[in-house]
Amino acid sequence: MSRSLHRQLFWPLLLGVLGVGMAAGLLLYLGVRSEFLEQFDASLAEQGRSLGSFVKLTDGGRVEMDVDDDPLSQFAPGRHAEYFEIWLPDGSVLARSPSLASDHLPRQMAAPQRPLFRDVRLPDGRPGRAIIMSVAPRWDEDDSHGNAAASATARAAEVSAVQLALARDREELDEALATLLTALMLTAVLMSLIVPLIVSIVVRRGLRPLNALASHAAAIDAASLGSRFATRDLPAELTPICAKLNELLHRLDEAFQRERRFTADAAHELRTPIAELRSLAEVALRTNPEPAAAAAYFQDALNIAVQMERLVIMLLGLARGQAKQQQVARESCDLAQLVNATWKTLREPAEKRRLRLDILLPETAEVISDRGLLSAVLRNVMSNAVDHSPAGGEVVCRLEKEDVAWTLELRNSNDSLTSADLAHLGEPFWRHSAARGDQAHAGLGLALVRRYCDILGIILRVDLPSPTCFRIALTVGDDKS
Amino acid sequence: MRVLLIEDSERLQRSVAAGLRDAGYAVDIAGNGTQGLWNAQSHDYDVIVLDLMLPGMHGLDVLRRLREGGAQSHVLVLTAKDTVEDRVRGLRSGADDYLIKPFAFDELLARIQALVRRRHGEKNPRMTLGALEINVASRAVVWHGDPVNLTSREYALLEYLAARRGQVVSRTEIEAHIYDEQAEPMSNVVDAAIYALRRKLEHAGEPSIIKTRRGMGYILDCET
Repeated sequence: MSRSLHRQLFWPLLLGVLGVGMAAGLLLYLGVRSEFLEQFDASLAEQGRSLGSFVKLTDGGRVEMDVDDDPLSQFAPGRHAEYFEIWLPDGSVLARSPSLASDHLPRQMAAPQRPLFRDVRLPDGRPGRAIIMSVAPRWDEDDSHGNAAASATARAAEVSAVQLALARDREELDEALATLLTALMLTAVLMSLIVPLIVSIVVRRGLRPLNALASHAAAIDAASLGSRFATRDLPAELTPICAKLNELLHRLDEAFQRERRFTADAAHELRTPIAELRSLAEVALRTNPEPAAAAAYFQDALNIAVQMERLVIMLLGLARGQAKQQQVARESCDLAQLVNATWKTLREPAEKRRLRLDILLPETAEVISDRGLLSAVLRNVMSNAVDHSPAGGEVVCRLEKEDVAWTLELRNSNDSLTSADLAHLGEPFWRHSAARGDQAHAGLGLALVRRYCDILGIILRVDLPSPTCFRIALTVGDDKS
Repeated sequence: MRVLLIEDSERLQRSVAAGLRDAGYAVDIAGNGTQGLWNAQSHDYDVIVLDLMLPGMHGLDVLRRLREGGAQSHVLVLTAKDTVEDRVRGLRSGADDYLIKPFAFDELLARIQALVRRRHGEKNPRMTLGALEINVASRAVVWHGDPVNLTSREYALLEYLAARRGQVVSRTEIEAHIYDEQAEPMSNVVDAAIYALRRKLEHAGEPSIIKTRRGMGYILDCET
């Protein structure tokens, strides 16, 4: 089963979006939790410092907890009670909250300025958080005016700090974090339901032009090569593809039309001689002709056979040329001699048509080419010049060297071709007149010439220097390739 | 019956014309559209056999010009163009029939005969005129139950008179429909052919079925 683009885009996009969403949720939760704990711990530390400020050093160097009842009201036993416990350096308890009753808070040694925070289970069973900090007792200044000795003792006492543990329940904090976690989990569940839908819609919408292109392409067959891909409102990525496909379709369409035209023309071209032959034979059988009439019938039958043979040979030549199966044997040829020999065969038909021949050839013109193919090219273009000139017209032939190449230029009088016709010259079966009565020319000669010129590397040019003059020029290189 | 063949292939001209002449038709030939149109406008042909891809003027243009001019000749298009579109275009341009090359000569002949019958309002290829029976398809003539041996020209004359039975047919009309351009009918050639036909179709004690209307022409009358 082939992998669809939809599938290739859908799953990575879905997993990517869900993964990123969940990672963002997790980071959000951890960030908020960290912030909440920081705030909670800061509040705990503030309260610890506040409580620690009640620890004082007396004149006698004794450490005492000097506090009124009111500021410590939250440490009284009760539902939302808080807890503290203060230990002297020797481990004995200096003070403890009434809420502790017979329980104790965990005792640890915290370095000065570096309080420790611990999650603890409070004596009433609630989860709580505790701060353990080192507190230096403060000298009671009210009792030390002018007493330098006491001041020294107090400084010594500051060195022996007490350990203070303060604990408070963290239920509100945990509830807030739980609410946040629930909200994030619900968001994740919703995302896992909605995101596939959104991703699917987005992918489908994004692939819609591609799907339309694929459907259009799948519907194209030999009968609908005239259709073209719409290039308006296309995504930029598809525009060059459609443009190239349209170009390809155009070329295919042209090739198919050429093929169809060629087949139809070939069939049409064969119908007339076959009709002639059949009619000839049937009428001869019906009428039992006299010997002279019968001989004329046979002569006609022979002419038809020769015409069809010529047609078939040309068609085979074209087919070989198209399939690049034409054998080419390059050798040294005298182009002037070949042109001259061809003219000799055309002098009689030229005289019959009262044509003036103006031929100027060099003594020799050596080229490297295939003698047979080159002769066929010359025979075709030169007989065309003779046959298509109006009676009493003129044919001019020049063979001249330009740089390293020989150019054969043929000019003949013209009374029918227009500049619009030049584009059709060389199309198989194209003739200026649609009538098929011209049995000497099937409209294949120039098509064959073009093919052979391609094979031999001959440059072929046709033009109308004036409306009454047709010119064809063949440039044959003398390279030894 | 006189047929105009407008065809640019000389070989086809020769064989088709020979076959049609052998079948008793007078055949004129035109090798291009312009000449064909001129011929068709100059004579009242029973059938015109028309190629389409003609030099000078396309066959369909010849056909349109003919129909626009009110020509009533039946036209059979004989062409190598074989698509449905070509046939529809030909028939819509005023052709009465369409035959594609290559063709069987017998089929061409049968179609021309059918067009001739239509021209003269006949549907049945066998005409029975009293004791005279003419089978147009087989060109057989029976007179009082006996087959009659006629030359091509005599048969063509009888078929033409039979097609226009009850009407006076002038010598000029007979010449126009029985003789083609190649023939050079002398002034008495029609009279001679009528005489020969009368000889072959006489029956003891009965007046001739071909009657002369002095100064007007001839009439085939089988009622008497």
